[in-house]
Amino acid sequence: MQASLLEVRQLSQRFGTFTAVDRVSFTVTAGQIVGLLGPNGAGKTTLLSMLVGLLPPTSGSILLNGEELQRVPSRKKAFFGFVPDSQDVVDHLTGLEYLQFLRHIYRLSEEQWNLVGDYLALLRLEEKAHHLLETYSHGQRKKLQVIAALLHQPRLLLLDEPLSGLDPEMTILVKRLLRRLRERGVGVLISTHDLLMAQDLCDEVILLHQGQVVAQGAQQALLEHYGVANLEEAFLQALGLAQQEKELDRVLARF
Amino acid sequence: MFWHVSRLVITTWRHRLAQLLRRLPGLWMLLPLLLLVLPLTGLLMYGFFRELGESLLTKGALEELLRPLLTLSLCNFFLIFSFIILTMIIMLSPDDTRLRRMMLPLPLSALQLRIGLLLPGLLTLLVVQGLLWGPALFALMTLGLITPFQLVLALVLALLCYNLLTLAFHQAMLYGALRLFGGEHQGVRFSVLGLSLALGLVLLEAPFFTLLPGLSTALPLWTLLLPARWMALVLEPDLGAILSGVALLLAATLLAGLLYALLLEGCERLASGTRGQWAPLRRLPFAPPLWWTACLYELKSLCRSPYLVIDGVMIFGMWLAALVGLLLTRMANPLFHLTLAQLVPPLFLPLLAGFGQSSWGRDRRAYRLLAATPLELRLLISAKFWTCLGLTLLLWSLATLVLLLVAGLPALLLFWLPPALMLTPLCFLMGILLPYSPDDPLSMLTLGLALFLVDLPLSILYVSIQRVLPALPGGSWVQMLIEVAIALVLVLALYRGSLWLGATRLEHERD
Repeated sequence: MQASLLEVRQLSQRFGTFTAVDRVSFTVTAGQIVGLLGPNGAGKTTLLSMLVGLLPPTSGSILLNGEELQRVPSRKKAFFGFVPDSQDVVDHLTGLEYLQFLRHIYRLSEEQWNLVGDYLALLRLEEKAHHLLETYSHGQRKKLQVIAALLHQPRLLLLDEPLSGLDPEMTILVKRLLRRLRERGVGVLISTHDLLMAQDLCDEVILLHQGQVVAQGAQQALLEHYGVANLEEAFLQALGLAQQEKELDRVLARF
Repeated sequence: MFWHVSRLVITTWRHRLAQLLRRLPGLWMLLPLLLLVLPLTGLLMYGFFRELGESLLTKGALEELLRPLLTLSLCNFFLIFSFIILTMIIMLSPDDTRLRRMMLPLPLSALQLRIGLLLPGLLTLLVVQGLLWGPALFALMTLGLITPFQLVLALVLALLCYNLLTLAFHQAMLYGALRLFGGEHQGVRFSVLGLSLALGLVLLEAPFFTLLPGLSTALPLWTLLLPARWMALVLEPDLGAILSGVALLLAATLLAGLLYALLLEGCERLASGTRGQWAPLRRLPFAPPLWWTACLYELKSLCRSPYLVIDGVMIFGMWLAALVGLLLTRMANPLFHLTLAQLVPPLFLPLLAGFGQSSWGRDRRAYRLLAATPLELRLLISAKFWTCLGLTLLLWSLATLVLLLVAGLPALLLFWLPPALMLTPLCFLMGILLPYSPDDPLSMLTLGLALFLVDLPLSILYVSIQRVLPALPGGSWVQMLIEVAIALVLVLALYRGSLWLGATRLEHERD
């Protein structure tokens, strides 16, 4: 059995009377890609925020490589790499300066730092490296965040919409990159709306709706359980959205 | 069709005003007063210029001497108020270039769009300026000092010329800022307008300081360069002067109009997709230890913030003006010289301490990102605090020392050292309590007002301590050491407070 890199047990997050995440449990092991799927407002980003330590959970626990996250000192955050979905960047630094800044935070070895040129070339960012981050497009920021997450060679990757804003060439590249990392024993948790990508990449999927897990398990098992051929149909069935087709016909009847 | 665009502009003014009133509720009381001010000021202007005209300008020889100067002052006053009013309207109006870009896909012609955008501002401006200045010129007309034709000519041509000059001036400043910082900083526009307002007022007023002391006969020839003089020429009794004034006003109107159109086009090109490349200290590498890396991070952030750069330019301009003032008045006016020298240290202190105010807010978007890394955010807050304090102290000391050396009072620097030590940390803490937002220029206004309210009791406390300390034995050096020691203790207290407040804020800020 593969080592558990991330273990989430009965994790909940409440904001006043509103429950954003409700008793969610799952595991990410080494060499596994897990997809976290759900509609807008399902609680995916809130869940990820708790996993990276941005938001303390209301209840439940998060074990990072066997250690409770809340008790993990800051330097142990080098265990994972995080690619956020938001446009939050350090605007006033150039791309290269930002990576240099992270070099010192993560205390990269000379060997690790020497790979930065290769990453920039691979993701077509060499020409933008000396430009301020505020001048980057959405896709360029995403690419830089991917590099920032990989530079310190983490064992676990937490990705929030990793392909948003990427052109087709980069989308294919990032997907191949994730598959190669999986082969090297890296565990990956991807939060995404992109069901096709999830179907293509993920070993296991977790369907989240209104903060709760409505379906969870190996992809193939889920498809068999719902008796469908693809994740899109499974998603609609799990969320009770089978009426969507009829609603669409009704709205467009007078178009 | 253009009227719909104009209605959009008016709606934007309403929202901006509402936003300002939400931020500064006290402004509600001032609004009715402001509405009454226009007609009342017009009435006052009529009365004032009627009195002035009767007592000074209808007495033969005295009129010969005073008329050119008083007319020039009136016209300069007219120009300054036009400048201020138009600047306020531009500040409240939506960003022309962004609005235009937004409307390009709509079924509107370029002319409809242009008229629609300009019309509300133009109409407001003409009404306000006409209400303010028409009565003053009317007063001169009733005294027989100018003809009705001169009144109309001066008013119309001057309004046109001065408004276009103002538009061209502001657009030139905006163009410069766009070249430097790129087109994506919405708040930069507001800051640049503030800077150009200050600079414009200085340029309009400064010539009169050199003019007044030596004035005894006719106005010197160089005053023909002053826009106010062109309007004043139209109000002269001599036909040659009137025609010169008209020619100058028309020429300036054409040039200003052309310049404005070119700059507007330039700004539109820069606003759509161009990126600023202002990134000083690019070659300064990050280096261990991590605390030093964080300090360098803050230093780069300070230097690259467009708002701080603009503020810095304004402060530099004031410093230059103070230097020139001190040099000119050293022999000519010793009393003024001494007063200016004493004002210098406390003047620059709050301006530079403001750099610390924006520190926390500048990186608000980055905290979530950095919190997911091994960087301890307390370490980052610490580095920000000490970098802001160090930089402010260094800049203030250098700036003030140069000015005080010119004034021959270098020891005054030490007197102001304790407040200099304390003000930046206080501003830093206030900046965490009421964070600055780069997308909301009014956030600095709120912060500034809050600081002003806190500063008052602290200043009283400082002065009270100053009164008690001389009673202690040991003389002024002991007094100085005690003050510095107290200041350092307070700095440490503010440092701890900042760490605690910053950590608490981060915990409570939700996803």
